[in-house]
Amino acid sequence: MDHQAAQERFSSYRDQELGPEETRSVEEHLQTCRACRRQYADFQETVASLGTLPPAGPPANFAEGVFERVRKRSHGRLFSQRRRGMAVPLEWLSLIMLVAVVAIYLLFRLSSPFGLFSK
Amino acid sequence: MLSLRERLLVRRLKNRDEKAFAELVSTYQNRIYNLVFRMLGDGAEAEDVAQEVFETVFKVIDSFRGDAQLSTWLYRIASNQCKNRIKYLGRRPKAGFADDGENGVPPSAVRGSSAPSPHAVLEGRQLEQAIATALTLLDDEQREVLVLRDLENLSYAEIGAITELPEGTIKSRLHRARMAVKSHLEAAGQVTASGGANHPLGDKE
Repeated sequence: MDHQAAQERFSSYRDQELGPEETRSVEEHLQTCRACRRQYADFQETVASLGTLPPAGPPANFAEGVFERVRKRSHGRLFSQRRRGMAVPLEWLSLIMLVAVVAIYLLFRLSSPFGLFSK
Repeated sequence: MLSLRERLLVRRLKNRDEKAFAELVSTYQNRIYNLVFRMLGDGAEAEDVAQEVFETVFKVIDSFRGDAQLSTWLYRIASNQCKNRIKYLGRRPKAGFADDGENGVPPSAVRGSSAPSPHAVLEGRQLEQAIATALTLLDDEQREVLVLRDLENLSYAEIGAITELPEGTIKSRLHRARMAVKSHLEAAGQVTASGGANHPLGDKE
């Protein structure tokens, strides 16, 4: 394995993503090549330093901002309020339907002796 | 694929449960904000886009089918919205420290406390600054995989699920990104393991 081939594999080698054969080739090259060994040490240091970058945190009122946007987007109605708003009329609707069905049944029974069945 | 906890959370989200939504934001806001901030390099833009991500989740949660982890799905939305914003702004991200008010110590002030040795490894904020600058110099595709892998510590499989890229592409982009950061840090005199840094950042000041 030449210098370029070895260096092209630094990233996968570092993450242990190479197959056993390629891993061995890279290791053999690094053992015999001082320049690439130096390059690899720098490479490793670079990747390690990326990991030390402190995470950037959101501002304190971040979540509040999210909720405000959602509220604005949904025209003031919030989350389950929309569902609750639907649930009440549905219950009323089912009650009204029930009453209507009973009323029609009674009406039919009452009217039938003088209507359809009297003939 | 989803944990029980995630499945329950998703169900509550689909029922537009406000508490579930608050839970989602508090669980993922740090990770999403960090990703977005590192992608855009600007605090104000990052806040706007990260909030937009959660707003989008609220809008499209019904389309979440649970074939990926919730975090993967969130990262995917965040990553796409970052790319859209970058395209919209039509510019490279900033260095990422411009609006950093609370601990915004200029790098030169930190350096003043101790003279850099010839082999000085960049420390603290100087290194941070150099890395942040290096990130802004990457192209968007490289920055995306680098941030997901080396800053967010995700696996190749997770990155594949987020970016929908083949593993080979992820590996080559990651390699190029890391090499580019290495070159930048070397140029800034930051990587000194081999004693190659002759001009530590700030010597000229």
